[in-house]
Amino acid sequence: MTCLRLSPGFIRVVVVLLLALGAPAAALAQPLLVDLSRPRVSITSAFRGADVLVFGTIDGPGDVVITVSGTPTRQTVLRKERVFGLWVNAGRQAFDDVPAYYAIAATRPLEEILPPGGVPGTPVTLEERLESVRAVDAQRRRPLDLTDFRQGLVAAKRREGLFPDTVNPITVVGTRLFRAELRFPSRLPVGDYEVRAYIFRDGQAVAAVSRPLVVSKAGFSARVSEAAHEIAPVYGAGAIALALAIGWLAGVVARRI
Amino acid sequence: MDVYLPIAELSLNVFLLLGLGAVAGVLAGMFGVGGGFLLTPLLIFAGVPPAVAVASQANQVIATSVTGLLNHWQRGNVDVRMGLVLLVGGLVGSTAGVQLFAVLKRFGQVDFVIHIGYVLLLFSIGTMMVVEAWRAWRRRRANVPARRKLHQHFLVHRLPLKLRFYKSKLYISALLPAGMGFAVGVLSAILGIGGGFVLVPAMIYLLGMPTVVVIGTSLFQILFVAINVTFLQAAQNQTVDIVLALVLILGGAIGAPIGSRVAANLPGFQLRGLLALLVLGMALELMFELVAPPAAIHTLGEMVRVP
Repeated sequence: MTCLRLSPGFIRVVVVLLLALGAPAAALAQPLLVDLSRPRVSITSAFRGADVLVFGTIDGPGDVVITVSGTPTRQTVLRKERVFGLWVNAGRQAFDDVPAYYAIAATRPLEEILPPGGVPGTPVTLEERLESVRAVDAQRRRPLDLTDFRQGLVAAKRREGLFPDTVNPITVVGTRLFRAELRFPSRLPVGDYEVRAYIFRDGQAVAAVSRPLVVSKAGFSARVSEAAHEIAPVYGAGAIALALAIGWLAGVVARRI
Repeated sequence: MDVYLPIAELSLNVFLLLGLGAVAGVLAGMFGVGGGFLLTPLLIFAGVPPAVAVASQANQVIATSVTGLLNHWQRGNVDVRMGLVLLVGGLVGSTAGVQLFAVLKRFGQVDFVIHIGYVLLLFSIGTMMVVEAWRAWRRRRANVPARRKLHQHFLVHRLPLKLRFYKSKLYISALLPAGMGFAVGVLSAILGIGGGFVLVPAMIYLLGMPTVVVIGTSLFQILFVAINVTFLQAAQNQTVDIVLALVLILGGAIGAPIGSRVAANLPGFQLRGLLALLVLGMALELMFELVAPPAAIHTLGEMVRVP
């Protein structure tokens, strides 16, 4: 979605910017103001990915870094091994606190903004974010094996587009306003996402603000998915009735032609 | 134009799906088989999770088999008694199959079992079709009329629990058809196929049923087994994607009449030979994927949201 149309998102943009610019006192009190063009990514029947605009103001020079992380999950990684000449998923390892999605946007390349080794307590890069990821039942595996699974996890997430390896650009207008376009892939896990913005000065995070972003199925897809999980037997009966009706109808129509 | 499949959780081109459904429909119209054996691997190629592909496929089989069954029912080509015996086995087999499916899903082996199941299935169907087409071709060249004999007597006639099947002109033990129904039921639950191409030859060659009633009777069993599988998959594994099934069914409804018209106008054995090669090609491709080193060793398994 662009902000050219008079969408609710655009109105939010205008309101926040007017507030920020028209009330310097308030802006000064808060070094960092951030909002999203929309608070929700709706996965509808025609969903093909989504763009969300992150925008805000900063109180002076400095670098802005934005991280987007999906719900923390317990993610299982499967490993193919050769068994009797066939490649089979023979190994599996679960990890806790794996973000369903993780992307970064920044005004400059990260290595120019962050000190070497990152800022303690402020995970920004994917590697730093994944430091808190713990293997389930880790004592049952050799460390080397765990490292292999961990690398496999990141590679598989990358392949699915859930850990994009490029850092999105953030455009700064003047010295006060910034905006970044976040692009989400079509295979986006639902959940409560967090968009977190930081101001970095001289390798120090001087301010941080976080905004929730809800990714959910909406409209018809949401109804179908809810029904499938919450009233599964009724859903099954409905699917059967639908197939019977169409099959019967197709037979009747085919005989008439 | 893309359509989001809410259970498979991805978007696919709606015309691609309609086309796949139509291809299955054409096959159904031409050969009287459901076409599921080609549809499921193609859906998996397109990125649909195998578990969802299989379960939604069972939903699609309901529609194709009810269309076919009505046709045969009106012509009186259904041996209800035989159908019920097959069905008893089929219901037990498919229920057991869905449980097995749930266990495999828990161990992350569903994909592998579906994959290797399809390799075996497509190889055997392909070989069977090649042999059949070759025989038809030879028969035509030699101008030998097909052998006419009601059926041969062997083991089936010595098992206990004998039943009289009037329409099939058989007096055989109920154990064999029930066992066949069971086997096809398991296949149906795990691979999502109706099983017509397994059941039909078995009914002709193993049971010795007259060809006229074979397809109608097998459709009778397939319909109710597919209903059972769809219900259990939906209720237990939550893998039935109604949107996916609906698009496939609509495609199939378009394809089936075309298929039956094509079949009426073309020399069957050449066409069947061609299809046989296609099936064998697909089996080889699937086999190659199992044997060749995979592009990625690691894949993502299940993801659970931590509260």
